[in-house]
Amino acid sequence: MSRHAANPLKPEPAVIKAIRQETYDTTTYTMGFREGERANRFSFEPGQFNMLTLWGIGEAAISLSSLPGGNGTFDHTVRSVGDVTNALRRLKVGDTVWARGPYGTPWPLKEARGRDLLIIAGGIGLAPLRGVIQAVTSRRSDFGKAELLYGARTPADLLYTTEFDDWRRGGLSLTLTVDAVPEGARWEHNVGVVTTVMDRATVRPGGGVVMVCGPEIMMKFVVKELLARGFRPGEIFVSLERRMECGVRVCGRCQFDGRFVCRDGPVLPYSDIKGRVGTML
Amino acid sequence: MDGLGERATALERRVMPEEGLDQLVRALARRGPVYGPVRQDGATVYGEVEGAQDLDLRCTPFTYSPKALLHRPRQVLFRAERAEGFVPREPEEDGRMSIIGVRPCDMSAIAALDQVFSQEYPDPYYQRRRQNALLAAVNCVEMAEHCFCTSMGTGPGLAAGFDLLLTRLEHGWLVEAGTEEGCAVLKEVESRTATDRDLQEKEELIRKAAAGAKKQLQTEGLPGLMRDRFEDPVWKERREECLGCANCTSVCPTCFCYDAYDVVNVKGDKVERTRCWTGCPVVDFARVHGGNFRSDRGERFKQFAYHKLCYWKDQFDRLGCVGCGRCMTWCPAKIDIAETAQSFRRGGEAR
Ligand SMILES: Cc1cc2nc3c(=O)[nH]c(=O)nc-3n(C[C@H](O)[C@H](O)[C@H](O)COP(=O)(O)OP(=O)(O)OC[C@H]3O[C@@H](n4cnc5c(N)ncnc54)[C@H](O)[C@@H]3O)c2cc1C
Ligand code: SF4
Ligand code: SF4
Repeated sequence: MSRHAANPLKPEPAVIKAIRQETYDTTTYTMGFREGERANRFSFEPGQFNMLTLWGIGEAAISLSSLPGGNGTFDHTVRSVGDVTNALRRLKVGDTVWARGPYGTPWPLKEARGRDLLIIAGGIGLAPLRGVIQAVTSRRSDFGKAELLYGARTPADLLYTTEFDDWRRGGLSLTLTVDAVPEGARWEHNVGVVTTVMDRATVRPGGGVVMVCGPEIMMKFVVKELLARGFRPGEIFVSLERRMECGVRVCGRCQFDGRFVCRDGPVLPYSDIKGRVGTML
Repeated sequence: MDGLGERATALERRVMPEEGLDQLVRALARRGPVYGPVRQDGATVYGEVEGAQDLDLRCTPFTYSPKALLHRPRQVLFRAERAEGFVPREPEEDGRMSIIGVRPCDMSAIAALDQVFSQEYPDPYYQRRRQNALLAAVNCVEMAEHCFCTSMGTGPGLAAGFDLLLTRLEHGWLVEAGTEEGCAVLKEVESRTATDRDLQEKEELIRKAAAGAKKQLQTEGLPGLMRDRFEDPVWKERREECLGCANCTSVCPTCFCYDAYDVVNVKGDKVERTRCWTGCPVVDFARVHGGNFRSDRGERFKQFAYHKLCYWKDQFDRLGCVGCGRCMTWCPAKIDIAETAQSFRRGGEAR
C-alpha cells in the first residue's frame, strides 16, 4: 500500500460551479477544487466517495456521482437528511465546500468491459452509479447489454429524470418502478418494490456483472432474487453504507466483521460479504 | 515473542540503587513532562510525575493505559476561523515526553496502535505524540487477579520496543536501555554494570511471576472458534448483563474508535474540529440517518468481544487483546470476555 504523507484528515477548498435541484430533498452540485494540481484534474472512479466539510457543522461521506469532468470538476448528489446535508442546501454557485478524497473501492467497471451490465438501484442509491451510467453510455461499444432497474418511493423521488432520455439514446435500457403513486400523480411505469421488475432484466448469470446500490434491506432482497436466478456471489457487487468519521480506516465506525467499509468497500463483491456477520445481506 | 522476556534486546544493562529511580525520573523530566502511574481517587491512572515518590509501580491494572497519552481522549484536529476563510490550521505540536512504568502488555498494545495509526493514511496526531514519547517500560514481577498476558504472549516480561526497561530486583533496579536515547538517560543516573547474576535474578523473577498467572485464555485457533460460536446462547446472557456503558472500550489499551465533531464559539466564527474516543457498546456508534446497524445492545457488546478476539486477526494479523485484564476489572457488570471465550473450550457453560 502506498503511504500518504500529508494530513489525511485535512480538507481542501472546492468551489461550487453548478447546482441542480433533483427532487424536493435532493440536489446535485458540480464542483472543482480551488487550488493545486487537483483544480485542473481530479482523478477518481465511480463508486468512490469524498468527505465533504462545512466548517462549524461537520463532515459527511458523499459519493462521487459523475465521471471526472474534463476541467477537474466532479458531481455530488446529496439528499438532505441531517446537519451537513441540510446546510449544503443553503449554498450558492461560487460558494466553497471543503472536501477530501477520493476514498474507497470503485465499481468494477474495468472487469465489466466487454460483458453485460445490470444495474439495480433504489432511491439515492443511484447517485454512486451515475458515473457508471455515464461511462457506459459514452463508450457503449465497450459493453454488452446495459440495463438499469431503478426504484424510488414515489415518482417525485426519482433522481436524474432529465437525463433518462440521454441515457436511453446512449443505449441503456431503463426500467422504472415506484413503491407508491400519490393520488393525482402521473405514472405510466411499474408500481412495486424493485424486486418486482427483476424478471424484466435480460442479463443472465455468467455473462456479466451486476451492480446494486440502495438501502441495505432492499439490497438484501435483490441479492436473494439474483442468487435464486443463478447469479454467482462473485458476479454481484453492492455498495454498503456505514457511519464514517474518517474515511481512512481509523475511526472504526464503519466496521463489520473484519472489514472497514470505508477502505475495503464501499463497493464489495457479494462473495466477500457472504458468510460474514454484520450486514443484512 | 515477548512473554518471558529473557532475550530482551538491550544496548546496555545497568543496576541502579533504590534511590536511582528518583534520579531517573528527574533525568527524564529534564527532557519534557514525565507521565507515570499515580494513585488518584482510589485507582491508578497515568499522571504527570516529578519524582519517584509520585509513582505507583505495583502491578495493578491501571484504569487508563498509556493509550490516553498517545491517542488522546480528546484531540483538536483543526482550528478554522471565518476571518481566515476557514483555512484549517493544525494545533501546535507537543514536545518531547516520557512515559514511565509502561507494562509489557501495554507495550504490546502500543505496538498494536502503531499498526492502526500507520496504515495507508498514517494519522499525524498519533504519529507525532508517539515519535515524541520516550518509553520507559517496567517488567512485571507479580500478576494481578485479572492478568492473562501469559496467554496472550505479551508479558510478564518484555523483549523489545522500549527505550528503557526496568526490573525491580531485591536490591535496586535493573535498567536496560534499548535505544541510544535510553543509554543517554542512563548516563545521568548513578548505576553500575549489571552482572550475570542480576540478569539471572530478573529471569527468575519473571518466571515466578508467570507461574502465578491465575487466568488463562487459549488463543490457538481462537478466531475460528469465536466464529463457530457466534450464535452461542452465552451471548444472550451477556446481552442481558451489559449496560452499554463503554467502560471496557475506554480502558482497553488497544481500542481506537473515535467520533468527530465541530465545536463552534458563540459568535460562530471560530471552529475546532475535534475527535474524541467512543466505543462500539455506545448506542449510536453505528447509527446513520434512517437506522442503526447495531441497535441491539447484545450486538454492540459482541462487536467489542469479536473485534478483540476474532476480527482483529483479519485486520492486523494479531489479536486485539493483550491480556491486561482492564475491561473485566472495570466492567460494572463484571463481564469477562476472556472467560466467556475460554468457556467455549469447556463445552460452553458460561463464566
Ligand atoms: C460511502 C458513503 C457514500 C454516501 N454517499 C451519499 C451520497 O452520494 N448522497 C447522499 O445524500 N448521502 C450519501 N451517504 C450518506 C451520507 O453520508 C449521510 O446522509 C450523511 O453523513 C448525513 O450527515 P448529516 O450531517 O446530514 O446527518 P446527521 O444525521 O446530522 O449526522 C450526524 C452524524 O451521523 C453520521 N451519519 C449519519 N448518517 C450517516 C450515513 N448514512 N452514513 C454515514 N454517516 C452518517 C454523520 O457522519 C455525522 O457524524 C453516503 C454514505 C456513505 C457511508
Ligand atoms: S461489557 Fe461491561 S464495561 Fe463494556 S459496555 Fe458492557 S457493561 Fe460496560
Ligand atoms: S480486551 Fe480487555 S483484557 Fe484485552 S486488552 Fe482490551 S481491556 Fe485488556
